[in-house]
Amino acid sequence: MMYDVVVIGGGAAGVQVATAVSKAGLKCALVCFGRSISGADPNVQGVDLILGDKAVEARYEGTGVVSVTTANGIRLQAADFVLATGKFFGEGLVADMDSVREPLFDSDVKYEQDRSKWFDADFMAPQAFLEFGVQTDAKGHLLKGGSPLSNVYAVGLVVAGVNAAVPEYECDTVINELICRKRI
Amino acid sequence: MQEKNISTCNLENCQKCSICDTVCPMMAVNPEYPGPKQAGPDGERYRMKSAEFYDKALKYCLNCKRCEVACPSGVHVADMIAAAKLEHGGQTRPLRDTVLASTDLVGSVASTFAPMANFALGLSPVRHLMDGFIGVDERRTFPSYANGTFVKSFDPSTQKGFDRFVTYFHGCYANYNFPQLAWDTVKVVNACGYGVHLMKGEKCCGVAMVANNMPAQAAKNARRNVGCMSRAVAAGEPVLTSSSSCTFMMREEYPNLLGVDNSAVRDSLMLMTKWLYELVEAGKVKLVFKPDFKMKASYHIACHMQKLGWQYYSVGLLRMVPGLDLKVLEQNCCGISGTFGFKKENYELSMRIGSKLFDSIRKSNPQYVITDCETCKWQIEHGTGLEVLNPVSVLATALDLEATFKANTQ
Repeated sequence: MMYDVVVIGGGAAGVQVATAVSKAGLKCALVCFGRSISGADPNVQGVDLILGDKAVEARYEGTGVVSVTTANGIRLQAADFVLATGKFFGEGLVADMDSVREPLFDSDVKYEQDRSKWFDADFMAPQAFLEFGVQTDAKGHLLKGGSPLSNVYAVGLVVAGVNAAVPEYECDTVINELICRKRI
Repeated sequence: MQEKNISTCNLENCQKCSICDTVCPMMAVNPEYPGPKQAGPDGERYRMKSAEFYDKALKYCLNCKRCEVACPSGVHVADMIAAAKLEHGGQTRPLRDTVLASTDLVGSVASTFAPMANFALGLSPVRHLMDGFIGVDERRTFPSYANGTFVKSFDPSTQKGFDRFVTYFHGCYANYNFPQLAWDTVKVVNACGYGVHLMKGEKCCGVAMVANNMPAQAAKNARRNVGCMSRAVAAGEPVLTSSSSCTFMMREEYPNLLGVDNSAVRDSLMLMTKWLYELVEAGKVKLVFKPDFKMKASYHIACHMQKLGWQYYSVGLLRMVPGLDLKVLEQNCCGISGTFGFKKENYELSMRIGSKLFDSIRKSNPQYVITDCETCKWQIEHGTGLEVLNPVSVLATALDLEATFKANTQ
């Protein structure tokens, strides 16, 4: 089955995007674990919920992605994909001893190169790792190897500079992109 | 430095986020159940020190796996609880539990005397006696037994004309209670141009035995089933099933809980709806539907089906049926958990758990409910009065079987 949009990650940002595109009449699927720590409800009207699952592999064609496959073996094809997998808790970002990576698309991650600067020993001081994340262009396209993926966007905490202390995530840019692309 | 997890259930990954507790259907209604976080990773740390820390309240765990579905950290919470029950839950049980779990034995006897058995089980005085003496709640309607099993009525010679075959694991429900489902499966498979083989020596998958603390008997059945399936797979045939719980049991619980290696068959063992969906999507099978088929139905995702993630395939097939107005319900546990809900001491809990699902079904106002699990079917029929159908039965009714056969055999 071919979707207009597949949203990967069911937290506040992922649910916000899925809700908006579904309301606009796009065929949307949402892949997530269960209810996220953000409290957002992944049961969105009109959205196919792929629950208790995670996207583990992406298939590419040219500058874009044709499908993602989940841990339960379901292959999801879509015109556009939205990465909304959050930071470290749900493994949207994975930290190794000296680097931070984004495991699904292996996209460009902005992080502090000097590991000793990742955190401040003073618990109440600003923590650098809370601002790590993937890089996007002005339209929200995910950057991989320095170039934007033509049909993959990123929203929410997975994005560099987005901090959990901020209660709302700016998703309108990406939402507008997705809806406009469908209209064409 | 410890480089990787040493526990088998990823106990070390638990972040204590408690999301598992928020989705546990038992914890929501029963203050005596400590919830998956405590029954699972918290309790496991104590049980590893000493068996005396085993909490008897784990008997309330339904094995619905919703905690595992929700866990963001990859902890096998439900497996951990199930393993603890098998190890520490004790090997003694009331005769009732042994009887409820021995579906092959009860099924063979009851289907031999089906008219008498069904008549007796339908009488309130009989059910009242069962309630008082062996503890099967009298409010439960017992599933009726078929007059003769599916296997006895299946004539292998009818399948001779095909050059491609699948093997069908019918399971206890389709064999002893509802052969109509098995016949619907054979009809649809045949219409797709495939013949059906049955396995000699198929046994109950054992899911009820595990739930009633009979691991040795379950493992015995498991080894027997894997043996039969290996022969089918070696002959190049996939093994197709009708029940989501049987499928989940044989694919996942055989290796994870019973230590029975199924690696030779697991990839070829699947629900009939997955097999069919993938063939249709690949353009290898064509489905021709009746133009005048009309139905309004709500689809219930059974808990084990949700764990597999395979409602994607059943719903995918149902969406191909023109004239089927289908609503996919938000996933909720029906509360029966197989033999659990039949027991007198569990009936109230079972119905309280299911009430959320019953309400959402009534709100969606369907003619029928569709689901892949037979015990969910019993519970939903009991709780809502609506008829519940298996997706394959819906397909068997909606398909123009002759036209489909022609389209697939030219």
